[in-house]
Amino acid sequence: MLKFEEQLLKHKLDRLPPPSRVAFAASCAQRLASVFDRFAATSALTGRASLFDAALNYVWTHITTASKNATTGKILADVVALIPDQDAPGWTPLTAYGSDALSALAYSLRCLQSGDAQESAWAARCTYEALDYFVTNRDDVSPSEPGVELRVLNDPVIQAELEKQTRDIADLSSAGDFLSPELLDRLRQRSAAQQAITITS
Amino acid sequence: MDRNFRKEAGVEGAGASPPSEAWLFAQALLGKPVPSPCVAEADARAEREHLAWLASISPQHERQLRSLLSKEAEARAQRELLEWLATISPRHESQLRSLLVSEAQVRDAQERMQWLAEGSHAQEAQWDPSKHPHGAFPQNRGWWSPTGGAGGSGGGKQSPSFFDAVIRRNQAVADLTGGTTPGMARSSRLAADIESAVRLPGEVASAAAAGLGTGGRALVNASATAIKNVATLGLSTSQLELIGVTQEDRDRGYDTAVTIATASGEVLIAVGTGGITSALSKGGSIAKTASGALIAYDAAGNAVGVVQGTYDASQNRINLSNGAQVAAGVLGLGANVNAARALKSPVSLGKRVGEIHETLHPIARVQRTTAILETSSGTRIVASGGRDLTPAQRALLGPRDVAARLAGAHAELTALEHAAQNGFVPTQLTASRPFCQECIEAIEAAGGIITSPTTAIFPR
Repeated sequence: MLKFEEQLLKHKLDRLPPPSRVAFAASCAQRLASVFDRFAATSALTGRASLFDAALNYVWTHITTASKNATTGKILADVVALIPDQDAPGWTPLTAYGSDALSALAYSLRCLQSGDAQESAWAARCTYEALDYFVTNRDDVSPSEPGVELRVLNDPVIQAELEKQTRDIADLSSAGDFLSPELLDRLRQRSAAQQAITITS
Repeated sequence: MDRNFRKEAGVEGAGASPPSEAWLFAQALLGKPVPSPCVAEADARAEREHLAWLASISPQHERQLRSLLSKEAEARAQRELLEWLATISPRHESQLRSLLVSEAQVRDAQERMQWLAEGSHAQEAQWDPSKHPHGAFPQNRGWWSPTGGAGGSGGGKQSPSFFDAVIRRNQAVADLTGGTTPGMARSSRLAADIESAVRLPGEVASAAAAGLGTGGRALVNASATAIKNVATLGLSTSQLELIGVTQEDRDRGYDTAVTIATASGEVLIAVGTGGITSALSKGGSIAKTASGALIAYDAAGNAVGVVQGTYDASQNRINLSNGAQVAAGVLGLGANVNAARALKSPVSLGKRVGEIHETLHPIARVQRTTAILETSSGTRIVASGGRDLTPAQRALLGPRDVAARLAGAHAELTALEHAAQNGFVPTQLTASRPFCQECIEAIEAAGGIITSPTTAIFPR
């Protein structure tokens, strides 16, 4: 059974070159794109919902090409401004997913700015937390129930996401210092196709 | 549902600490000169000019000056960076806000220090206040001017804003209740008594101007009583009411609160004038807790109060207002033991809330609330707003902690609901962000009393 261990993940990311850290973060954010769309459709984000895709596209396209710090900063400010406060009126479960998706995207942008492995690890944490919330909410889990933490962690959707994170790290590690456009494209397409959360209703 | 996003101001990071207000009060009460910040500024300026002059003739001093200039430039650059980051990052925005609040506090403290220094220097020069009253306009509060200012107190040292606030407050109470109480009618006269002894702390004045709940009113009035008691060596024990008090306030325990706050204020002044040894020498009236806080115990009044951290007033920059505010919580007379127990632990509960909240990633730290509700059985109910606790937060819970879950509700409501559903009796509540109005109402409905923007107690 895989576990989300942030320190261990950061240690692995530390050994990757900065562009690979950004790619890993973007991959995590990409897997929340679908659930963000659901959130945007039911919230007051009218007119700004496309910002998520545009900002994520900006990250992917600037992993190996130079980005302007001011432009990245501006996009980051726009993304952060969209993150809903958990105490704000009108909260729904989708608010939690929207918050996680936007936060993962914000950390991807910050990673693009700084190359810091911690930013990338936080992006991964956002995706993991979205799935933890998905499982506890879906199963109406009582946190005081004995053995509940293990049961939640062992849920197939959480394990699947942790496997994806492990696979991404492995692929990026094997690429070494050179990230080919083909690898980036494959990573992006794969994350877009394998969304972390699928909400049917 | 709106949260007040103001954070507790850090005491560090905004320059050198000025002397504590308790100490300044003590100096003023004892008629000793109060150091003026203007003098310190002038000294620093002169020293800098001297260094600049020395640098023009001495390589050693030139190096010293260059190093100083470099440090100043670095500090400016750091500040500019923080200001820029604050525009895009909530964490840095929060840091900048804390820094600005700290700087404002330092400026405020320096301003008050200057007031006290002016007052002290005037005493030294044997000015007759009736002949040379302060006009006390905000823009020239240090100037001497004719009587009849807006303060309405006939030439005191108080700023008109405070007295205006008192008068407005009394008028509002009179309008609401349809009459003026004798205490309110005596208000101006009593205020004049006080100001002849010493000025009320700036924070108390601000608090009065802001409009207060029962606990806050008790604090302001009790602070005044404590000052007067010390100034008159206890010869006058009448309770002052600078701010009007309604019957509803009294029903809510105003009188008990004012007794507690008065005792705490006197302890603070004792610490300010003679240090902890002198304060502790007052025997059974005060005691020191393991955490270092002083408990004021008034046997006659049968009330207990705590002055947190006053054993080290100068370092912690405790003043009469914030030191007594915990004690200003409206505690029942029969709840002394519980009150003392409850007042002893907010520090550790607050620390625990901080620990659990800090496990969140930086963006979540500013977008979510963590709360802990302590119960009479010792169990602590831990909750987070909206989405509930994250795996990292749950992993931090100990054997005494219970995770509460109530999707979509605020952390405080989640914890209270869990307590109600499971038969827990709440004793105190601490949140990582200020309570919203809805939570305040829920806390009060559950028998709680708000003791600060982020804490509440539940006396039994």
